[in-house]
Amino acid sequence: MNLRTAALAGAVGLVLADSSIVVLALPEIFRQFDTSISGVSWVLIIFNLVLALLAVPAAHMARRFGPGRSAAVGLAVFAGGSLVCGLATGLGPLLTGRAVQAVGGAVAVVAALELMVSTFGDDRRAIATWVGAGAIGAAIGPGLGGLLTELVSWQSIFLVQVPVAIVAGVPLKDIVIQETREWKIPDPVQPVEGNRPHLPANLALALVSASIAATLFLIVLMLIEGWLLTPIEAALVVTVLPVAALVGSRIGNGIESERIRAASGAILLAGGLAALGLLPKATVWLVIPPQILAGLGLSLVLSALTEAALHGRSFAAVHGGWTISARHAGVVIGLLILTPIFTHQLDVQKEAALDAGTAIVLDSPIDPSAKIDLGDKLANEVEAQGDRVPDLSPAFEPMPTDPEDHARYEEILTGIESQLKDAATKAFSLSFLISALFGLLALIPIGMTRRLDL
Amino acid sequence: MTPDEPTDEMPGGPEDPTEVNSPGDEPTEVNPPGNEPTEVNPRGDQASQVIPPGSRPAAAPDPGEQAGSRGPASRGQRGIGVLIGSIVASLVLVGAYALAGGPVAPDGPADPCDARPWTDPQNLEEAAQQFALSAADGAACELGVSREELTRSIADDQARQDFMDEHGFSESDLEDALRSGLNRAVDDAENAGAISGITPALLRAAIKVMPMDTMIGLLENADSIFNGDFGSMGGLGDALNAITGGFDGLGNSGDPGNSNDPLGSLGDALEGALPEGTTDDLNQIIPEEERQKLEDQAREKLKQGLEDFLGP
Repeated sequence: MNLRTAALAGAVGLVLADSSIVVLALPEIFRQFDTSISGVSWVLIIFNLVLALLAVPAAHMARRFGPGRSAAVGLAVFAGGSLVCGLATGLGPLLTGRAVQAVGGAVAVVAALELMVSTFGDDRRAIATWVGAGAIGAAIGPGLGGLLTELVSWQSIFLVQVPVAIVAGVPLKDIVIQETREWKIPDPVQPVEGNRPHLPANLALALVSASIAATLFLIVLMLIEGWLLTPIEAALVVTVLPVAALVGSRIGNGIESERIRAASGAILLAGGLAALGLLPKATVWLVIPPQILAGLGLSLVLSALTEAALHGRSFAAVHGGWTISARHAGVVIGLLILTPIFTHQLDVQKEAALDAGTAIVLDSPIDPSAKIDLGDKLANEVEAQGDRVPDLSPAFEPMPTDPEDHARYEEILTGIESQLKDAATKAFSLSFLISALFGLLALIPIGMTRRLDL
Repeated sequence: MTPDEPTDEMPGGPEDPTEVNSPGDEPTEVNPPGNEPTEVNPRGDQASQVIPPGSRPAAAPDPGEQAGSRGPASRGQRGIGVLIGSIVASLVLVGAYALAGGPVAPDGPADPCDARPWTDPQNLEEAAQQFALSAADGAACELGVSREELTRSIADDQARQDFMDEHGFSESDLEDALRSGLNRAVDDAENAGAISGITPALLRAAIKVMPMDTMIGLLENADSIFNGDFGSMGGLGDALNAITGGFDGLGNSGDPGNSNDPLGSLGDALEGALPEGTTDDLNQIIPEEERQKLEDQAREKLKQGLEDFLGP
């Protein structure tokens, strides 16, 4: 892989990481801009929606003006959008910046595919690199975003991307110059029978992407917002996903049949998500095996379906654009379906956690008047911490000095925290299971071919 | 079908080696220097393409090399192996988590209608706690909600109003439920031997006329029931104190102030017959005639106490 290819892969990873990188910054943005939950969710939705809508037109643009120039312009626009996001002082400018990022990102990603194809001279390797970069970027995104949010600020997520996008564009200098000298605008793509977008592959991509959206967003949300891990701790836990995705791409190289790879990937993805939906205990170690399955699965299924969608079709960027469009439409649909389910489940489980916590206090052996005091403090703490899963330890301060009472209070706090964690885990359960269903549904279009190519 | 003819099938099977760049083929998008940067797709889709400077000649890697020098049959078997492995791994993990009790969930609230066994109270506080829990259970059972929700709802007026609005309960529904709950608590306390003598009967009588705030106060702090000082229950408590004071007086026949008390002898009998914690029924101990007098007196004092409390 030469410098240009590495830069292109980095650009693809950067852009597709952006579809998920802000997920951990959303609570901060929510608080800072004093907006609604649905308002802040558009920070994610707008990016994926614009990417879905513009990927195919962007590919035609790349074809018309040259992939090198298009990629360079795309990266510049993406950097500009990132700057707007990083300097945004309100939700409106932030959403505008996100839309601009997506416009530039769409152009850069599809043009990068075309450049990779011509650089490698081998469709399959180029597509595998392009898909792999995107999958790993998307998998790393949430953890990286969490890390930056915790260590610096949510704005830093976007500001860091400005120089990265510019640096990724530098190796394109020669090809931009050459295209500027020699480029001849090609004839428009004619709708030729047999060169239509691969409907089953793109449909399956949309379904698995809805599923993957859950993998990326929900795991991180569960770890940080539900289990109160720090973003750094959560980032460490979710590192399993991109590592497994890398391993998956190696495994996939040895399988000729795209359909078998796609089916295996969809099954692994669905299995990992179903296991996340059935976590028997709110423990970090139990999140690892499902992530391994999901990581292996997403790598296998994305590469296989993208290769199938592009196979024998020309122009690569146009059909690559269709895959980007399908994937991000899937992410948007996944978010639009899962967000209300997830927020409703949070409300349901909040009540369940309140009941469980109240029962612990009521059944505790502390003095009745102390129970009332503690109940008031707990209620205030829950109120003060809003929609997030509360950290209730401040309600127990100051702890009684009497050792016996101290032990009783400790026991109550531990019991309530455990119940909260269980409730938060349960709140994610249905969303994970529905996401697993998306993965399984993808098996239908994967199987919609005329013959089985085993 | 030509090898690079697009199809909606998932390609790549051993009998369908549809690589765009077949091993050894020239890359299809090579742009010879000086030529028009065009590439003609077999389907007539003319695509322009500049080959980036420095690009490698498009020598497509041998698929066999990619697959670790294995033949198509070997790769096909490996594919089937991966597919079966994926199914097995997914089923094993999902099955293991389900069998281990997944998905985890917070403990559900206990059914408030189930009997809550009283542990032997070691002190007054424990007895009071169990009384309050029994009362909350009874009231929650009556309303068809959890004990925990009911307890939270009576924390303050706003919470109570929200609770009633949410469930469509009226003030009198809540009052009736609290009365029912307190009666259940009295039953439980009596059965456990935590209260005895005339106290259960008096409490039941008091509960019948007890206002909401007093009932809620009793749920929050039932100490008074077990320490014999009903003052915290307001005017009604004063009435109960008056009554129980009267009974205390029954036991003080030696006191000059009570020397003319017609029930003085009964006090002696009670003192001897009702050791602390006894569950014997008063009706079996006190002669019918004396009990009638006692009840009349208690009723009168209760009536007086209630009139004081409720006003004219």
